[in-house]
Order: sequence, then C-alpha cells, then structure tokens
Amino acid sequence: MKTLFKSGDIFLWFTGAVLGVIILMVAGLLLVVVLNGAGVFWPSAVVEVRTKAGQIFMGEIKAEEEIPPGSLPENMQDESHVRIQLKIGNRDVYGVDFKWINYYELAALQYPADALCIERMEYGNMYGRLIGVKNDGVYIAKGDNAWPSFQNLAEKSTDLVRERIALEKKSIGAINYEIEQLRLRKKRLEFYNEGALAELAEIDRQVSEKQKSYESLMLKVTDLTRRAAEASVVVEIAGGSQKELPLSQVVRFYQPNQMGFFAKLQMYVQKVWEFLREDPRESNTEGGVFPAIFGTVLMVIIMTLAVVPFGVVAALYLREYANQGPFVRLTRIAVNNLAGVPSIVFGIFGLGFFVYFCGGSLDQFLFAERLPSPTWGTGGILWASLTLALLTVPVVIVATEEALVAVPRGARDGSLALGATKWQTTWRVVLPAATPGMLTGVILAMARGAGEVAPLMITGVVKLAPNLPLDGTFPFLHLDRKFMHLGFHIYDVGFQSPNVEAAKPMVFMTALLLILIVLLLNLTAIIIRARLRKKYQGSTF
Amino acid sequence: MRSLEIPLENDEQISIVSPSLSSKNFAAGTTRGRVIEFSLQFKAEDSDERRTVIPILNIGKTTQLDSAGRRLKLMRYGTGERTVMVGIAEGSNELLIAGREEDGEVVRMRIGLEDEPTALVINDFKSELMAGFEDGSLRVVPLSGEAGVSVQVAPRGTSVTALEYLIGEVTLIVGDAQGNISGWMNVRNRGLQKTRDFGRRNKAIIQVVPSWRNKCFVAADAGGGFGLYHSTSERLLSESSDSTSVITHLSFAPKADGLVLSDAAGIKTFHLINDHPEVSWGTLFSKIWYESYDKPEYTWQSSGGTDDFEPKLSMIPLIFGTIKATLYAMLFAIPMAVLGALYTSQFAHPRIRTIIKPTVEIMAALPSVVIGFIAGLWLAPLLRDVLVEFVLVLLLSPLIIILLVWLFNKLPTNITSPFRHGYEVVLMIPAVILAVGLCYLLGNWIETAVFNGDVPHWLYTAFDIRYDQRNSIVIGVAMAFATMPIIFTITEDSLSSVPVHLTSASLALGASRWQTAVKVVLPAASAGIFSAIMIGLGRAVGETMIVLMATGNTPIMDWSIFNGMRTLSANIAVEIPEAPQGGSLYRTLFLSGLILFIMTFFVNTVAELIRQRLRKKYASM
Repeated sequence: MKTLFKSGDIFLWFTGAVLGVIILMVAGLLLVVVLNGAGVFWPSAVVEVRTKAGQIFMGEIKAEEEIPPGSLPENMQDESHVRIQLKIGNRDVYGVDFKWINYYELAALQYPADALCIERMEYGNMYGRLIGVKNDGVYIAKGDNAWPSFQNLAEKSTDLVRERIALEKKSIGAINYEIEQLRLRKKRLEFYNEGALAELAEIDRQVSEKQKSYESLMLKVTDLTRRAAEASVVVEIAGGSQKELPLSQVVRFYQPNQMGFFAKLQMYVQKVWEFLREDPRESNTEGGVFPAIFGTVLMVIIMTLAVVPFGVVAALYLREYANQGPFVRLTRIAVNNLAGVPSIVFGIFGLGFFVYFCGGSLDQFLFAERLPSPTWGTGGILWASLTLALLTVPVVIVATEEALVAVPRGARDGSLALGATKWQTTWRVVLPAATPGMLTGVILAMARGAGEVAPLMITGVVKLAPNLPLDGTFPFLHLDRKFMHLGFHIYDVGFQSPNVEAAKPMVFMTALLLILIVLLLNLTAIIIRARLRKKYQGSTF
Repeated sequence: MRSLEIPLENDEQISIVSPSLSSKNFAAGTTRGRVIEFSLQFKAEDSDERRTVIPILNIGKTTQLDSAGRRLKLMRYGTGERTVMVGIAEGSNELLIAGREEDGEVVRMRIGLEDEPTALVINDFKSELMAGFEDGSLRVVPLSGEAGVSVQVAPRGTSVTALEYLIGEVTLIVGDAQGNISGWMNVRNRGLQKTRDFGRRNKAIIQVVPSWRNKCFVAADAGGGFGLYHSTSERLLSESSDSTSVITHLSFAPKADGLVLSDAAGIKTFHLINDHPEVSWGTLFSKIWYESYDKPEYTWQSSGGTDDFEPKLSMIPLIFGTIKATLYAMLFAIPMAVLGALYTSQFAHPRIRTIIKPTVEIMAALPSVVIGFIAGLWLAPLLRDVLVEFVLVLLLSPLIIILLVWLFNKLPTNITSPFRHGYEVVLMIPAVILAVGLCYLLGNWIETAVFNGDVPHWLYTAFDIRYDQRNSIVIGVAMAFATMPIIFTITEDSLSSVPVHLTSASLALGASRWQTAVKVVLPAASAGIFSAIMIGLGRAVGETMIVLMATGNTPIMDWSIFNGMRTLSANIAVEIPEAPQGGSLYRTLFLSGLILFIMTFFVNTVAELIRQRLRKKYASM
C-alpha cells in the first residue's frame, strides 16, 4: 500500500478509472437509446389481467418496478412489492394509455391466444378479442370465420384508404397549389397593372375550371371514404363491452400471442419500414417520421452546397495565397472564435439577418402584393440552411487548411518546377491531393449540421409541415417552405406533446435514428482520415 | 372639427372632468354640484374621396352629488361592477360619495376630513380613496368607513397637487407644488411605500395623465411644460417646455401614439414615437421594485395575460442561470476530462489510445438534442429514485476503487502484468461497474432504512429543500457530455505535445510515471489545460438544447443543486418565437444573444491566444 501511494501508482490507476467512467458514460448513453429505441416496434405479447377487485384489463406489459415503500399500504407490507405498468390502449374508452397495477392486487394473469391488437388511425392501439366483421352494419362473419374475412376486408379497405390518400395528396394537392398560384398571380396583376382586365378574367375562368375539377375529385374522395368505412370490425374489449371500428381506421392488426419469432420479425421490419416511410399520425406520436428525415437530409444538402465553396475558398486563400502576417493570424483567431460561438446566437443572427432583413427586403421588392403575409420574410429551409452553413463554416475551413498543409512540399515544388503557374499548381496538384482531407471536414460539418437544433427552431423548422420542400409541382424545390427536422421532432414530441408517456417510444426511436445518421457520417470521416494518414505516411514525395 | 355640447342648466358650467380608466367613460362635474356621465363614440363614414370620422356624444345619467349645489372642485369617477363618483365641493372638507350598483340603486356617503383636499383619486376596486393635502400628506380613506392612514408623500408643507393611478391601478403617481414626481405603491404589511422617483420639474405639477396602453404617463407643470415618463424604468422619455401658456387639458390618443393638449393658445397635437420605454440599463441590470412585489428584485417575466402587465426584463436571473449551469457542468466535466486526458496521453498504451480517441469523438458528435432528451426524460426521473445511490457513488466509489487496486496489486505479478503498462483501463472498467454496483446496493439499503424510500420528500420535511426533478445535477451530468469531449481533446493535445525529452529526463532521474506526469508534464502543459477549460466553458455557456430540455426553465436565482435554472440561451429559444419583430422583448433577446456572444468571444479569444503562445513555447524547447 505504501509503495502504491508513494510512487503515485494508485493515482495512475485512478485516472484510468476516470477514463473508464467516460467510456462507460458514452456506452451507457448509446445503450439507453438503443435498448429503449430498438424494441419499440417488436410486437410484444398481450396479457390479460384480472384484479382481485374484479376489474379486467388487457394490454402490453411495459415496465415492472418495485413499489416505493412509502406508497405501500400498511397491511400489505408482506405482499409482493412489485407493480407492473400496463399499456392498456383503448384511449377512447379509458382516457389514458397506461395503468400501474400492483402485483398483490392481481387475481389472474394470462396470455390469451386470441388476444388481438389493432393499430388505429386515432386513439392509439386497441386491445381485445375479435367478435366478428360487419359489412354495411350486418355481420358477415363471426367467431372462427371472422379472422380470414377480417384480413380480407381489411386489405381491401387499406387499398381504398391508400387510394384516397394518394388522391388527396397528389391530385387535390396539385390543384390547390395551382389555385393558390393563380390567386397570387391575380393579386400581383391587381397590384401592379390594374388595367389588365382581360388577363384577370382569364385567371378567374381558370380558377373556376380548377374549382370544378377540384369538386369532382372531392366527390371521388368522399366516395372512397364511404366505401372504406363500409366494413367494420367488432371487438370485445377487456371487461366485456363491444366496440365497433370502421376498417378504414385500421392501420395494422395482429394476434401477437400466436405469432412465432419469424412472424414477429416480419412485423418488426414492416413497422420499421413504416416508421421510415410514412407521415406522422396522432400529433406526431405515431406513424412515421419520413418528412423529418427528408427535411433533415435536404437541409444538410443545401447547407453543404453553401458551406463547401465558401469554406474551401477561404481556406485556400488563407493557406496558399495570403501573406502569413498578423492579418491572417487575426483571421485564424476569428475563425476559431466563430467555432465557439453558441449555436443559438447563430440562430438569432439568422432570424434577424436572413429571415427579417434579407427575406423582408426580398418580399418588399418582389412580392409586395402579398404583404403583409410574408413569402420569404418568414422562416424557411433556405434561411435555416444558410444559418447552419455559417455555423459549420469554421469546421470546413480548419479541416481544409489542415489538408492543404499536409500536401507535401515536394508535390508543389515539382509542379512549379515544371513551369505550372501558381493557380495551375493549386488547382491541379494541391486541391486533388487535399480532397480527402477536405471531404473529412465537409462530412464533419454535415454531421454537426444534422444534429443541430437550436438555430433551426427559430429559422424555419416546424412540428408539422403540410408539404415537403421538394415535390412534383413547379418549381419543384420550394426553398421558402418550412420543414420538419429529426432533432426538432425529438424536442417537440418529447417535451411539447400532450401525451409524453405514450410518445416516448417514438422519441427514443427517432433519437436512435438521428444518432445513427450522425455517427455514420462521423465514422465515415474518421475512416477517411485514418486512411489518409496511412497514405501520407507511406508516400515518398 | 366638430364641437359637441353637454346639456347644462342656465349659468351652470363644467368645473372638472374625470375619465374612468377601465371603461373609457367620462364624467363631468359642474358648478352646481352635479355630475353628468357621458361617453364618446366615433363613427367612420367612407365616401369616395375621404373618410370622415364623426364623434357622437352619449349622455348618461346625471347625479346631484352635492345636495347644496356648490361648485365641485375635485371629482373622481370610476366604473365597473358599480359606478362610483367622489367629489369635494368648493370650500368644503367633506368627501361626497355616490355609488350606483348595477341595478341602479344609489348609495350615498359623506366622510368628513380635517382639511380641504388638494387632490383626489379613487382606485378601480372602489375600495379606497386617496386624498392629498396642502401639507404634503396623503390620506388613505377606505370607503368602508374605517379610519384611514396618513402618509407623507411630499416634502412637509408642500401641497400635493396631482394624484393619478397608472394602468393596472397599482402604482400611484404623486406630483407636488415643488414639481417633484414620485410613484407609490401598497406593499404587503408595510402600507404605502415610495417605489419610484421621477425627479423634479421646475414648476408645480398640475396634471398627471396615465397612458391607456402601458406604464407611461405625462406630467404637466404650471410653467406650461410637460414630460413623458415611464414608471418601471423611471425614465424621462421626452419633455417639452417651450410653451409659455399653462396647459389646461392633456390626454393620450387611444393607442398611446399621440398626445392632445389644450392651453390658452388652443389645441395642440403631438405624434408620439415611444418605442421601448420600459427598457433602460436599470430595468435590464439592477433590482427593480415591480408592482405588487414586496421588495426590489431581479425578475424575468416577459409577458403576462393582461394589458396592464408590467414586463420584467431583468437579464440578471438569466446571466445567473447561465453561470449556475456552467458551474455545475464544469464541476463534473473538468476533473473527469483532465484526468482522463492525463491517462490517455501519459499512461495509455497506443493501442488503447486508438480506441479511446474515436470514443471521445463519438461523444463529441452526439447531438445535444439527444443528450437533452435522455437527460430530461430518462435521467431526471431515474435520478429522483436513485439520489442516495448517486451521492454514494460520488463519495464512496473512489475509495472502493482504491481498495480494489490495492487488493489487485497483492496478486502475483504474472496475473497482474497484462493489465499494467497502459492497459490499466481495461481492468478499471469492470472495477468501476463493481464499485457503482456496491454503492447502489448500499444506497438502496440506506434509502429504505433512513429515508423511508423517498429522499426528495425527506429533504423537504427535514430541511425545507424543494427538489425539482430537472435540477442542476441532471444539468451537470448532461452538460458533461457536451463539454467533456472538447476539454478532453484539447487537454490531451497539449499534454501529448509536451516535448519528449522532458519526460525522458524525468524518468531517467528515477521519477515514477505518476511523478513525471504530475511534476513535469502537467506544469508544462498547464496553459494548454487552462485554454481547454476556457473553451469548454464557452461551450457550456452557449449550450441550448440540453438546458432547454433538462431544466424546468424557471428564471429563479437560487444556487441550490436541487433546483433548475433558465439560461440566456434557453431563454432565447423559449421566447423568440413569441416575440413580435422589433418589439422590446425581441430586442432584449437580441441583447441576451449579444451578451452570450461577448462571453464566449472573450473566453475563446483568451484560450486561442494562450494556445498560440504555448505552441511557440514548445517550439523553442
């Protein structure tokens, strides 16, 4: 012990322990996200419990914990100290999604094979037993025959719903957009040249034409809605009461207690796919996050397009052309400083400069007829991307400078000796050699941009955007639109949604997705950098 | 322009007019002791060319306030659930009060005063009257008939010449014959207290007119001048003293964007550009005695539900919150990062280093929104349950680890040697898990045995400490994720770049690895470590999402580790979506952005300069 202290070895071990804690912290956080996120879509068994008081509940066991001794009744101290959290679903019946049940209050707990779980468009999951299937209010199948016809009809109804949604989104969306464009054109004509009566009449005629086709489409939609809701399923929920649910409300249904591992796996993959591909439902607490993924990716791409030329040119100038004097030193300090400026400060800069100043001026010069409703003078994907570009430009500058420094002197000298000009050397020799290094910087900047939320919150991200910023209507890329973002989705659903407990699994899943994207980008950068180092170590310029 | 007439009896004249702040109705007191209520309406008529606004006078009820029919010298009028008018007849010491309930029943009351009042005001609840006197005193007269109290509001012997409530009817503005203007307010248990001082005008104050919109008021003096003041900021916003004739009437435009005054020369109108009257250095950075508060305080509360809300825009609670969050984050992050970096750079085997560095890079790359989410929704509820265990881990686990190391060193060398020489960390990870596990078990037992399973409850009953679920401990741990990587990386950088000949020399002289690291490497790299800490500090100061999600965002000033805070950055994120562009709140938020920028700019520049100097120093070694 004495030598251990005297030589200080014990402290050495201790610093090792501290490092161990750091590693464990990172691993722990990743583990928490993965454990909570990855299991969300696994179809878990449905349990039926009967309490001693005679109440019956059906649902999924979500958690099990020890009852705090304080809240255990005096005479129950000897009983089991465990309680379970049951996701009972059926929000339309119970009003809540979850229920804590103490073990000592349980009379029976079983896993009925015919337990049915239905994912619905509204009110969360429904748990119960299948009674029968109705068409137009008449039972067409009951009891054992119900299941196949349920599957059959549900499929048909899903197709109808899909058709309706496609119609609403594509055709009706397009018509609405066109009508809006016509309205804006009319406003513009009225604003600038009042005399153009013929044109105005032409616009009015077009609008009424569009209105007609809109109405006929709406008729179709109503028809589809009606047809999809014709058939319904009757479910007996725990406790014996029966609920009828139109099949158009059914998203997915399964009997988890009968499913084998592979059936569950198949369903899991399906659900993950839905998560990645579908729009959110139920104020973002269910469904997918496709618009958020799309928004994040598009925002990062626009940001990259803005940041790369800017950062690379700045680094080229600083490293290759500028005299290494006090000015360059000062610039370096400024760039490093810029990297340390809080992201929220960039955010309000973006709001004040891009949104209100640039956007506001654009509106005044180009879209004066639409004022006071802003076109560019409000948050949008362009302004958000530019704000993030400012935020990430130091990353690109620093990485590019490092890459330029790493280009061996011999290569430059060789090129210059062969009679190439300074520009030719830079363009043909230095830049290609530095590309992987620059790429590392760009990827790191992308990762930083993808994970940043605070500046976006005030420059254009919304919790629910009706349209994607990129779609099939001219001019295809709508830079003035607001967009959804994975990071903001986490904040919004996890902290602003009315039903945080029910939304939590989705948030974990979204967090997992965001971490995966960011880590993937970072890993790519790390790998490129590692290979680069090897390459330069081995090169013999 | 159009003039409208209030029907009067023969040779009767209007002696005084009083508006009711709450309903924008008016009442006129006459020379015959009558009170005539009236209201004004404006009707707009659009023709092709122009818009004509026609004022319409609606005459309401008439009340004979003074049964003797004397001239009313002072009169006050208030509406609401019941209508109250209070008057003083010429040469009388008696308060004449008439109250009318909604059903039209009239109640009359007379209260005798010792002296003849020089100014009079009634509050909107119609519960109290304030009467000012020639000797500079103010008497609070409860309408319930109880005896009131007297307060000296002006210098002794100086007549109180103007009394007026500001919107909200909390602050009472008092003007006196010497020209002093002050603000008074009822403070709990302490009665009427002077809370505002607006300085002095050259002549006696003859009229105070409150704004309909905010806590501004105009005070006119007997010399024909007037000043526009704001109550909260105690600012004299604007003044005019060029008029030689005395102002007889003065009023705000309904949107408080104009002033109308009449004097002997006629009617004058002023356009009022009155942006941000509530902001001053004082309101931003010093204690302000806000309305309905017990004492001057630093408070941030930018918006309220009603029109008469007084915005409280003190930056101090936010700066305090920022410092608190940074402090707790640094308490945790600095020792961890520096010790971890010391091990990595000095003791770890290169192969271990190739694992650690990407791990730290991953840590740096974690989006702060994810960290904040985990901290707010997973760690915060968990910590509430394992508080004792957590404290035990902090206190005991170092000891347990030292014990484990000592035991391990007792083992034969052939077992221990694979874990020496840079591989210690491999063994320490399970040791840490073991130590935490032991502390958990012990803590669990203590929690049940001593605290009856609910520590926050125990804290509250035993020490009166309020436990917020999202508190500074959560912030400390969560912010460590954001700040540790950057401190770690830069520290490790500067430790590794200490010239090798220094360490070699030290080791050659027989110093142990630890002695070399602490006595040679650490001092040589101390400037670099300092710069690392500064940069980490800058990062913590500006961190937004973690604080936003892992604290309750309450702008309180309390160092307690069990409470949360609101930082400058989180405040911007919370409030700017609601702030109208160009408004006072909007600009104040930009100011807090500027403060943040200055804080980080200072810290980062210092750090950068130190690093550059250090690089030169190493180069010359």
